[in-house]
Amino acid sequence: MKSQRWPIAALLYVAFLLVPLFWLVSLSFKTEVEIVQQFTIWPHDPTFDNFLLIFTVSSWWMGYVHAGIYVVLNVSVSLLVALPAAYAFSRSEFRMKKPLFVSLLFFRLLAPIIMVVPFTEIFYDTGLFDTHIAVALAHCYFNVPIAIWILEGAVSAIPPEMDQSASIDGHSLLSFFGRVLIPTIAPTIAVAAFFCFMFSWVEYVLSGALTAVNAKPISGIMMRVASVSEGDYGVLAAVSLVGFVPGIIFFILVRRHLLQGFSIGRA
Amino acid sequence: MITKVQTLGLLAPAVLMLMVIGVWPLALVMFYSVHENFGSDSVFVGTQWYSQAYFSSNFQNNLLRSIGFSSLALAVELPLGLFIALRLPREGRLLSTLVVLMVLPLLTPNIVVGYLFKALSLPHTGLLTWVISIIGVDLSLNNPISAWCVIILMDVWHWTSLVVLFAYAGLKAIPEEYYRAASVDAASSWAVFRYVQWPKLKLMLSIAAILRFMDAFMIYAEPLAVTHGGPKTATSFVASAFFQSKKTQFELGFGAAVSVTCFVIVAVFAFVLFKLVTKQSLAT
Repeated sequence: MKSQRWPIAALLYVAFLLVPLFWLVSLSFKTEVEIVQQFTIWPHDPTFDNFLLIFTVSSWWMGYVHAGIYVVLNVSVSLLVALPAAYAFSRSEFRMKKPLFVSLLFFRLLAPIIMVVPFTEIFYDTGLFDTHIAVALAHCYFNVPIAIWILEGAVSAIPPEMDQSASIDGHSLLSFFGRVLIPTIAPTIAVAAFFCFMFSWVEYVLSGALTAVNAKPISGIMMRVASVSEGDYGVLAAVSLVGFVPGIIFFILVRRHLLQGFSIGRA
Repeated sequence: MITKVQTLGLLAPAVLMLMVIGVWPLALVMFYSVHENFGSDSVFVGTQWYSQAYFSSNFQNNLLRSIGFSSLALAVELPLGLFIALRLPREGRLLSTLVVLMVLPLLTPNIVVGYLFKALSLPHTGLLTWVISIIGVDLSLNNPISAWCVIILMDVWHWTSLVVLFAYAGLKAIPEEYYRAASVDAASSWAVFRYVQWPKLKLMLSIAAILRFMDAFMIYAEPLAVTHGGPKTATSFVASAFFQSKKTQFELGFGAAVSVTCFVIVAVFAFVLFKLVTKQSLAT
């Protein structure tokens, strides 16, 4: 690739992305009256009320807590289930391996909205409706396959000799996972965790439908507010800005590994 | 080498989980789609729900709009995303800053994106309305063409970065030697793209295309927030069948039939694209 000092196209693209985000920030400091009555680029009369509301009314900030709980649960379960499977896909030969591996991607093709009715039924029947566990499990159907795909690449990138020498050293499969494999592919595990986190954090159809009161996440509350009152743009903007924070922190932590090219690209 | 029993043990948790929370719910949807469902009772009705859906002009129009919308979205996002990925610097501070900023839209929940673009195109006070008025055009969501432009722009804003990331990961997987070999041969930049970059890129791009197609085809919350599906039904898409049918138990089967249909369309699209890409890479 030719080296370019100033990637003009990329800069213009990023500028295009930032304009609506700037508007989101601007909206969050405006009063509702200002938003619908006058056009101002910067808030004319800046207010912190929108943010104050989120942090003082418990149903709002508890929404973040609920979302945080099921996202963490989901990421842990997804990785726990996906890592052994990724290892098996990488290291053993079995019939139907390739079709099985490709068909994992097909789970990602099931739109959450298709799954709402059957999941509601299943979680009602099992008594898990309106719990964090329900949402965490539901989100596994798209996160486990993604995690397997990402982790398989990382396992395949380390030479099989490492497994052999570990087994000569007397490691059982379990201690090999804990002492050798996981530390070696930790960066990729972080990348997989980031993707699971992201998909679970922004998903709102299932998380809204599978919860009522006890586990209602922030997106569900936003939906409800938005459907009741036309507008409330300022509050919604403030809520979404706060919602960015964990994702950005997580992303900054893993971005170097992400940019090394997660190895789905090696095919 | 791990034994057969170990392999089975390693795969079991994932397979079991996907059976219970992936295959089973899908099977339930398929079951609903061929039954009349009353509470816990159900009577087999064959293809009744399917024909009810396929013969309704509402569904047909929504389906056509969904296909049109997802094609347009892909037609903009794939080339744009690829172009940006090719123009990104290979490393350095600027790259990581640009990438962090590019990921921001991906971290925005769909519903927020919907309300953000609604706010951007508010009459008189929206930023987009203001920008468009500078070039002398009146942006109004009551005009079907304007409404379509806004939701396409919204989707491009939200998702092009996903294509950039996938394409960029594909580019990063190309060893430096390939470029050196190409420059020894004095290959034109088009030749480098065609014979060095494209073969590595196309799998990544097709995965991005599949993911984008599915999401765009099933788009639901965003147009609902921006336009409420209007003016009239101009921005009402195939997924609108679900919230119409969610109100009453009676139409569970109808929603299920639409679900199965949508899933089949997306799966066929993915399958064909995947076959095309993998076949070609065997041929070259």
